[in-house]
Amino acid sequence: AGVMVIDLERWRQRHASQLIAEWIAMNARRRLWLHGSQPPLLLLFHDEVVSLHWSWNVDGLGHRLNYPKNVQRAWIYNFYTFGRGRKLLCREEWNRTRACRDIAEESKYVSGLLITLKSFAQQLGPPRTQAFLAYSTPQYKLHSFETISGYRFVLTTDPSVPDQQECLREIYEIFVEHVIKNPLYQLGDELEHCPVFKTKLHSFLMTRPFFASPFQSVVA
Amino acid sequence: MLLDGGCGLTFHSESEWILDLQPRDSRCWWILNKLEVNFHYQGSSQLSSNDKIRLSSTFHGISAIAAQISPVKRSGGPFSFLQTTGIRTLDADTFRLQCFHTATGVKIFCVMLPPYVDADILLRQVYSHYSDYVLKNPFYELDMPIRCEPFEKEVQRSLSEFQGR
Repeated sequence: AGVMVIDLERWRQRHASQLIAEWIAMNARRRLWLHGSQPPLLLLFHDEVVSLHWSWNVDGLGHRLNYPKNVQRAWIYNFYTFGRGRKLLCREEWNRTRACRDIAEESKYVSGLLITLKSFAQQLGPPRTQAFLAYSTPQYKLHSFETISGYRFVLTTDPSVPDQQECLREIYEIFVEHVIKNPLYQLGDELEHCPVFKTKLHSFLMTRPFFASPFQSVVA
Repeated sequence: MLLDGGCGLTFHSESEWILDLQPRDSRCWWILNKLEVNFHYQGSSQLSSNDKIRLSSTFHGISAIAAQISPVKRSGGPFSFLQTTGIRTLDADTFRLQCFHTATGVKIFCVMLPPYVDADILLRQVYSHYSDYVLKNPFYELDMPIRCEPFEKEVQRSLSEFQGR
């Protein structure tokens, strides 16, 4: 599906409808092109076209996500919090195009990956290497922040998103405020007794530039 | 920049073997592992050849798992199967690893100290030397360790050119 914007005054001046009708009649006599309406328009206006910004085409009203890679966007996909012993404490997701089929398995992969990456970095790098920070693949980028007490905060985003250590550090502070200091929370539990943490987390992430999805720019 | 910091260069393919080479001079030495060529300047690494094999295998596995847990589908298109999905860059607090994935499964990666530059050109040059001096060598068997003097010379040259910038 496409979007076309027409200047109707100039359309009438050019007698465009009439000319297009002639082209179509010609096509009916002798097959000139295969698909219906676009070729005569192209024939008529081939060098008088201005391209619109892709965001004009809100194809699928927000349900289609296959936008060109070179479009300015910075998306967030997942947020995880791991406690001691690789336990998944919190998992949030947005904008994923590839659904997670098994959350337990995924969290095992991610937590295992973090441990492996940390030891890999410490062995491969110069002597005083402490922590692994981030990796990126062509599809996504994973940022990790590990505290001395063994909590890990992980964010997966689009590869163009810059370093997020500060952001994860602030999330850690929110975590300490609303989870660790919560008298109802037992260390190692999941976060049912801490709904405030989730709301604070969401409101904090919404202030980040990478949280904006492309549709927000269209609505604005 | 890189000269002061030191740079390690490693590449690794899916099957593995090991070979050690004598150090050329006191400042740099390298080891050829399976399809790995390892340069370390100024002794910035104390890894044994076993360690290097182990670390490269680890990296290979890490890259595969990272591709598996991707939250995003591979973008479609006629040649999407050629699109690589492994780790391109890996940042730690003291170094950066940049990896170049070839369409045949060979991974060429280098370890850089700050200030970081984009080593993509260097990695591609090493790949082109690999295909020129190693794969076209009639005595070289695929997936065996690399013992090609012209290859090492060319890689050394590319490395010094790159570092000289």
